[in-house]
Amino acid sequence: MGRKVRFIHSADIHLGSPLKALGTASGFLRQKLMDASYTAFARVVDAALRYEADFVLLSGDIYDSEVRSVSANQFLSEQLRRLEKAGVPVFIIHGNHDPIGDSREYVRLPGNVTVFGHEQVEVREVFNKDGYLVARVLGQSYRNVSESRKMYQTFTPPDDNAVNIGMLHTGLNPAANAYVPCSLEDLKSRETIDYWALGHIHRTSIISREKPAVAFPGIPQGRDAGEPGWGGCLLVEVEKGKSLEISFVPTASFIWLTQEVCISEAAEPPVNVDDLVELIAAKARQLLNAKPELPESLVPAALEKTEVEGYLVRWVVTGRGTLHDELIAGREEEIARALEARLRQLLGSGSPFIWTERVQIRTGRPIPDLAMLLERDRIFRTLNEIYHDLMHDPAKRKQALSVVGSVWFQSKDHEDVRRDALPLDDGKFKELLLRARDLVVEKIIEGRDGE
Amino acid sequence: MKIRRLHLNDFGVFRNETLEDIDSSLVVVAGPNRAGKSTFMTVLRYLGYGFPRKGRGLPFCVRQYEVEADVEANDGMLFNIRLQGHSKPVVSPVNHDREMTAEQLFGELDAFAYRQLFTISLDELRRLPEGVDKREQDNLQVILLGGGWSDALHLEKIRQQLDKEATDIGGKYGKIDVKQFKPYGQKLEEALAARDEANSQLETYYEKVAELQKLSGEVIPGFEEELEKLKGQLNRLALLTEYLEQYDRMVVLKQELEQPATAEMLHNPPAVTIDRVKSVQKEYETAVKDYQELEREFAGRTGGLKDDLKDGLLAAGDVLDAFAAKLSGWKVTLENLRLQKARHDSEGKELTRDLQRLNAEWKEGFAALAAVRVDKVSESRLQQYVEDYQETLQKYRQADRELAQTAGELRHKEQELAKQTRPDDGLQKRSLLLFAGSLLVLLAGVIVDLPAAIVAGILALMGTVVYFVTKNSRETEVRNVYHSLTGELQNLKTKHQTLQAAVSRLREEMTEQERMLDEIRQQLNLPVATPYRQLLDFYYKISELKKRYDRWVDSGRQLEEQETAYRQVLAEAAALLQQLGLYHPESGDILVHAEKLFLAVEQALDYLQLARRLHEAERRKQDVEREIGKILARHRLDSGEPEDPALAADMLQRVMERLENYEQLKDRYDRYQNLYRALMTALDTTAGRRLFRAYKPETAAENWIIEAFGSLRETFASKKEVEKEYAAVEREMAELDRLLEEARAKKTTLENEVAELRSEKRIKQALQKMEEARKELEPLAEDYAVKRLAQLMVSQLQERLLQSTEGSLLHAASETFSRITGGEYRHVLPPEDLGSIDFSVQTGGSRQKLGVEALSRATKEQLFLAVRLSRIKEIDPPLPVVFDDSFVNFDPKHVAQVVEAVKKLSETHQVFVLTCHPQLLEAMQAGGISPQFWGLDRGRFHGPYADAAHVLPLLSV
Repeated sequence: MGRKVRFIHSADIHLGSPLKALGTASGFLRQKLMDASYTAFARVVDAALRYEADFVLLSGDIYDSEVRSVSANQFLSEQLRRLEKAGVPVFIIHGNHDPIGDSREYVRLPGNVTVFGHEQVEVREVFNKDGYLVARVLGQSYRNVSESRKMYQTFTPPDDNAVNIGMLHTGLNPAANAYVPCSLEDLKSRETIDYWALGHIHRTSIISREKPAVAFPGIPQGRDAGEPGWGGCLLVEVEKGKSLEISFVPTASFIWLTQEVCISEAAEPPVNVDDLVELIAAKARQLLNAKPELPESLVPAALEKTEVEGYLVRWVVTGRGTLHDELIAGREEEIARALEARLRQLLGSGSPFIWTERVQIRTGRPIPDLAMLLERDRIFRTLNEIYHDLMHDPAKRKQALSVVGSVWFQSKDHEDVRRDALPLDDGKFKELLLRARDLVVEKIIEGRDGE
Repeated sequence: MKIRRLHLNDFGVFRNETLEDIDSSLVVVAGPNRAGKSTFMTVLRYLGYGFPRKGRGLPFCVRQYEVEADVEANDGMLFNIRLQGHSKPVVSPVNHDREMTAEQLFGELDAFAYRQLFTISLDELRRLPEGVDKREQDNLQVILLGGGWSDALHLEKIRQQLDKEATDIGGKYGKIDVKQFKPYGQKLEEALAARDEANSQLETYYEKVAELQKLSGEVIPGFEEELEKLKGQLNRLALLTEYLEQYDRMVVLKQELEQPATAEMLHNPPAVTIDRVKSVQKEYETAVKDYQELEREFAGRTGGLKDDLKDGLLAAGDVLDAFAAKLSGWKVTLENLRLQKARHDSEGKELTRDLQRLNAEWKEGFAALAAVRVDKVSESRLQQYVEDYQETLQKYRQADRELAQTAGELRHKEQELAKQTRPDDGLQKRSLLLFAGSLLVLLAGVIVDLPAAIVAGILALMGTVVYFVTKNSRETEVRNVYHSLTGELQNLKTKHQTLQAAVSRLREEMTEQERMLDEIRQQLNLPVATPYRQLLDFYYKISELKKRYDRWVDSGRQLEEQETAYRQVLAEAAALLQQLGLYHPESGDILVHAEKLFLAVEQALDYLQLARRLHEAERRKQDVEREIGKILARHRLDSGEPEDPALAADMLQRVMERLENYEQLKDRYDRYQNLYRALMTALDTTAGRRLFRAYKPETAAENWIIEAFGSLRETFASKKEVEKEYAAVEREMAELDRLLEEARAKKTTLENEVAELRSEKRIKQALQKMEEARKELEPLAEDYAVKRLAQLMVSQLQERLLQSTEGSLLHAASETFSRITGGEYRHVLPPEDLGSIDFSVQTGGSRQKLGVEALSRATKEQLFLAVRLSRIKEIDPPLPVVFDDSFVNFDPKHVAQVVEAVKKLSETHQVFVLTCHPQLLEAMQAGGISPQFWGLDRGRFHGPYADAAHVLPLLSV
C-alpha cells in the first residue's frame, strides 16, 4: 500500500439556515447572510475539487430541521453533482437534524453519493484508479431526532489493512442520551479505526491526533453568536500506519464574535452614548488589526488564504460606573438599540466589515471595591457564599433553576431545542446568577445609602 | 465612654447644677417623683446628639439649654462636650490636643438607637415604645437585633421589591404566556407556527408537484383529446347539417344522369352553343337588311345601279382618297396663283414708270436699262472722283479770290507810300553845333567875366536844348511811318506772286478730273449735260432700278412654272373623273374652269363612300353565310353548306332545337357537378379529410370524402335527427370544456403554489421572526431570571442572618433573659417575620414556645430588657446606660436578679440607675459592686455618697 488517502471531512452544514444577524441588515448584506450556509457548503465542495480529494465525508446534519426548502434540496443536489462530475465519492450519514426516519427528502442524489442507513453500521470500500482498496468508510445514520444507541460498539472493520474511517454524529458525551452517547475512550477502544469523522459539535476541534484520530470539523459557517470563530471543514491526509495530517479549510464568509467592552476599564470613563460608541469603535479597530484566529491547534490547508469577509459581532457592554445611574439604568434596551444603529452605520461598510449583530448592556452602578466587600462585609460575604452554593451545589442549583421561570429551559446540548422557551446552558446560568448577586449587592448598598 | 462631670443650666428644673466626679461604673440617682430624674435622663439621652426642637421629655428653658460635660473616652482621654440650646454638641479636648467628634465618642451610634438601647425607661421596655412611628419601629428592630439587622430589614424590602418586579415581568412562574412575556410569547408562537407551516411546505411542494404533473400529463391532455374528438364529431355534424340537402340533391341528379341515353348525349356535347347560334341568326338578319338598304341608296343617288361605276369608284378609291385630301389645297393654290399673276402685272407697270421718270431719253424702256453698265463703275471710285473734284474746285476758287484781293491791296499801298513825307537827316548836326556855340559863349562870358555873355551863353544853351528836344521828337515819328509802309509793300508783292502760281496749278488739276468724270458719265449712259455732282445720285437710282427689274423678271418666270405644274395636276384629276363619267371638260385654260372640276371631285368622293359601305355590307353578309355553313356542317344536318343562303335560317332553327335539348341535360349535369364540386370544396379539405377519416372506405377513390360523407349521411334519417345529435354533442362538449377549464385553472393555481413553495422566503421570514421574538424576549427573560435569582439569594441571606442572629445575639439575650427570669424562660427566639419585633420565647421547663403577646407585662419587660442588655454589650465602644425606674413592675425576686445583671453590666459600662423606690436603692446597695449615690430633689443634686442612706430620706417623703 503506502498510498496516501486524502479526503474532506465536513458536517453540520445546516443548509439553508440563515445567519441570525439579519436584523436590520438590508440589500446585499442581507442576501449574503441568507445565503451564507450555501456559500460555505459550495466552498467545501470547492475544496474537495481543489485538493483533488479521494472522497468527501458529510457527518450529519446536512439539512436543518428548522429550515427545509426546495432550494436547499436542489442546491445540495447541484453541489453533489459537481463532485460526481469529478468522480469524487461522497459519504453521508444523517444526524439529529436530518434523521432518516423523519421524512424523505425529495432529493435525487447523484450516483457518487452513499447514504448510510440507520439500522446498523454499513461498510463501503473505496478503491483507487488502479483498483486497489485504499479506504473503508463505516457509517450509521440517526433513525430519529434523538439517538441513544451506542453505535460505536459495532464499528468493526474487517481488517486493519486499509484506512478505516468511522462516521458518527455524536455529542461525544456519555451522558447525552439523545445524541449517540459515547466517550473519547469508547471511540479510542475501536483500535482498527484510523479516523473518527464526527459531527454534531459545531466548534472545530481535533479531539485526538493519535490513532484512532477523532475530530469534529465544526460548522462550515457559524449562524449565531453561539457559533463563534472560523467555520470550515477538515482536509485529512492519511498514509496507513505512517502519518495522519489534518489541516483546516476555512469556508465561512463571516466570523461570529462576542466582544466585551468594559466601561470601568476605559482610560476615560464614558459619559454619554457618543463615548460608548467610541469605546466600542476602538475595540473594533483592535479587532480589525488582529487576524482572526484559526481553531485551536489547527493550521490552514496549503492553498488557503485566511481572509475574512466580515465579522458579525455581539458587543457586551459591562463594568460599573456612574454612567449606569446617570444614563443607562432603566434604558438598557433603548440605548442598546441606539448603539446598534450607530455601530452598524459606523462599522458596517469596511473590508472586512463589522456588522453589529446586537449590543447587550450589562453595566451596573459603581460599588466601592466589590471584591473587598465580598470578603470583609459579613452580609456580602454571606451573599457570596450563597452565590457559590447556588452555582456549585447540585441541590441548591436545582433550587435556583426552579425559580428562573418556565420561560427558560435547561439545555445540556447545543442542539437541545424547545419551541416555547429559551435555552439556559451553564454559561448562561452562571451569567444570570452573577448578575443576580451583583443586583443584590447593589440593592443592599442602596438600602444602606438611604438610611 | 464615661461621663465624669456634668453641668446643667436652664434645663427644666435644673439651674446651674454641677455633678463632679461622677463614678465611671455604677451611679444611682435617687429622688422622689418630680425631682427631675426623667429630665436628667433626657440630658443623658441627647448629650451626644444635641437636643431636638421637638420631642418627648424635653423640658422648658428660660433662655436656652446649657449643658456641659467632661467625658472620658475609652483610651482615658478627657473631652468636653458642650450643648447650647438645640445646637449640635461641640466637643473639645481637655488638657490634650487629640480631636474627636461627638459621633466618634458615641461610636457612630445614631440618636434613636442610643435612646432605645441605652436610655431605658418603662417606655423602652414596651413592645412598641410610645411615640415611635412606623419608620422608627422598623429601625427599632434593627437596633434590637444588631448591625446586620439593618441590612436584614432592607433585605426583606429588597426581596419584596424583587418579587414584585419579577412578578410584573413574568408572573409567579415566569411562564412565557403571561404578563410582559405575553406579546413575545405570542410572537414566538406565531413565528413557530409559521416556521412549521413553511417547513411543511416541502412535503406540500412535492405533493403539489406530483399533482401538477398528473394534471399536466394526464388529466388535461385526456380532456383535450376527448374534446378534440367531440369537436371532430361536432364539425362533422355541422358539415352534415349544412350539406345534407345538397348531398341528397346531388344523389338524385346523379341517378338521372346515369340513364344510358342521357349519358351518351352528355358524352357527345355539341360544338357550338345555343347562344352562338342565336347570335349568328341575329347577325345574318342584320347583314341582309343592311346590304339591301345600301344597295337602294346607291342606286338612288347615282341614278340607277351601275356596277361599273361602283367598281370604278372602289378601284380608284385610293386615288380619290388622295384627291379628297388634296382638294382644299388645290382650291387655295388656285387662289394664290391668280393673286400672284395680278401682282406681277402691276409691278411691271410701275417699273416702267420709274424708268421713264429717271431718264426720259430712254425710250427703249427695259432695254436701255440693260445697257447701263453699272457693274463697270465702282461706286467707291465714283464717289472718290466726285469728292476730289469738288475739293479741287473749292481750293481753286479760294485761291482765285485771294489773288484778286492781294492785287487790290498792293495797289492801295503803293498809292499810300507815294503820299508819305520823307524824313530829315541834319537835325542832330545842327543841334550839336548850336550847343557848342552856346557853350562857347558861356565859356567866353565866364572867362571874360562878362555877365551879359554868361547870361547870353546860358540862355543860348537853354534855347539849344529846347530846340533839339522839340525838333527831334517830330522827326522820329515821320521816319517810323515811312519805314513801315515800305515793308508792307514788299510783303504784298511776294504774296501775290505765290497765289498766282497756285491758281494756275489748281486749274490744271481740275481739267484732269473733269476728263475722268466725263468718261464715267458715258459709261452710265447719261446725257452730257448731267452735272458732275448729280452723277453719284444717278448712279444709285439706276442701280436700284436695275435690281428691281431683275427681280421682277425672276418672279415672272417662277409664276409661270407654278401655273404649268398646277395645270398638270388638275389635268390628271380631270382625266380620272372623265373616265368615270363624272366630268366633262371645258375648252380653254383649265385654270379658268378649275371650280367645275372641283365640284366633280367632290361628287366622286361622295359616291365612293357609298360604294364602299355597300361593299362592306355585302362582305359581312357573306361572312355570316359562311359561319352558318360551318355550323350546319358541324351538326351534319345536311351534307354541307346550303346552296341557297335563304335556307340557312331554317336550318339554323333546327339546330337550335337540338341544342336546347342538350342544354337542359347539360344544366342538370352542371347542377350535379356544382353540387359535387361544392361538396368537394366543402369537404375535401385537410380538415375535412381528417374529420371523415374514420368513414374512409377501404378502396379509397380520389373522391372518397363524398363517399364517407354519404356513409355518415346514411346513419341519419333526417336533418332534424342530425341537428338533435349536434345539440347533444354540443352539450357534451360544453361539459367537457368546463372540466378542462377547471383543470387548467387548477394547474395555474398549482403552478403558482409550487413557485411559491419553492421559495425560501416564508421559512426565512418565519425564522427571522422567531429570532426577533427570542431576541426581544431574552433580555426580559434574563431580567426575570436575575430578579428571581436575586430574590432567592436574598431569602437565603435572610435565613442565614436569622440563623446567625439566633446563634449569637439571641444567644446572649437568652442567657440574660433566663437569668432575669430565674430560668423560668430559657430562650429568646427571633421573630417569625423578620419585619417585626415579635420575638418569641421558650420556657425553661416545658420548652414551650410563646409569643410576646402571651407573656405577662413584667415578663415582656424583662424580655425586652434582656434583648437590650445583650445588644448593649455588643456595641463597641461601651456607652453610658441609663435605667429610669425601669424595674417597677418586677417583683422583688426579679428585681434582685435584674440588679445583679445591671451590676454585671456596670463592669464594662457606666450605668446610671434613676429611682424613686427605696427597695431598689437597697437592692443596689446590697452585695457586689457598690454604686455611687446621688440625691436629687427639685432640680438640685447632692452627693456623691458611697452609702444609700444619704439619699434614702428623700424617698421616704
